[in-house]
Amino acid sequence: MDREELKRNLKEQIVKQLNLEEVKPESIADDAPLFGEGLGLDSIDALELIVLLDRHYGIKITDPKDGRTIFVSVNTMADHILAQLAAPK
Amino acid sequence: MLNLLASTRLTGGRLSLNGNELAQGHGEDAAMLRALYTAIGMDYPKFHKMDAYARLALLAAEPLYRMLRTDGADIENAVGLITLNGSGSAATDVEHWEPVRRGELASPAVFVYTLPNTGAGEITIRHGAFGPSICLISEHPDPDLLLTITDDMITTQGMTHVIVGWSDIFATPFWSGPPTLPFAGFALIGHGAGTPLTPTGLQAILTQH
Repeated sequence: MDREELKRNLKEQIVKQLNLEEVKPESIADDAPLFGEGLGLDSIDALELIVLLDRHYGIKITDPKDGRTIFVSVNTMADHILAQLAAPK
Repeated sequence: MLNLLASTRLTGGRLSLNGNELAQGHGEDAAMLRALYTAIGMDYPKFHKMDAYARLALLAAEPLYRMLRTDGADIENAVGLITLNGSGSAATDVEHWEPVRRGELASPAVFVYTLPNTGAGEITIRHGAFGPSICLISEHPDPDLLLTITDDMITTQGMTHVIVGWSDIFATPFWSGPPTLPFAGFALIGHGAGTPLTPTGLQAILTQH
């Protein structure tokens, strides 16, 4: 999967899944923090991102603590997805 | 003697204050509620994350809290809230159940709204109100009970105002009545200038005609 296309898809999926009606996908910078000062997501949004990875990419996160490194930014999410898809089953 | 100071109704996609239309929205519930949110100039991004029931309650309550704020009322400490509805959170319960039924992961953001008191919770968070609040579920509003609770909030708990609101939204598998929902009716009660509060008058505001 092309990394740039993946990041574009991720931004659209984040906006849709998290009901960020006032955010345009293209306005999310690849390295912008998703939590705190960035998009300002909350703990429920973090759980929604876990569901997003499962629904769209078949990637399961069994320990929510892993989300702290995976959900830092769109870049880190893309890194994790590409690594998981490339890993031997 | 308590007075009815103001009332809002949201029915048929129209939001009105004291009988005067404030805004109109069209389309399915979500589109209609979003249109009303924009039309009355709300700026509260969390609105878009709420379920339809909480959005409905928030929209109907908004003009009354704006009035209180304009009048300098102590919303933080002296405004009580009573919310009511007939089907609880059934509409959102159904939405939560659909992916579970299909064997998929359910949405946490939907799950958190599978409680009927979320409407009251979202209203109090939005307006920074720390006064007493209560959520009641019944087939029809009981105006005598509501007036008893309202009177207690004002005379015993020191509230200057109480907002009483009914809001209900479709829960398709359970709803057997005519397709008239969603509906919300809210009343602002206090000692200021208004019309004398009666059980019949309160029931008329809280009931879809």
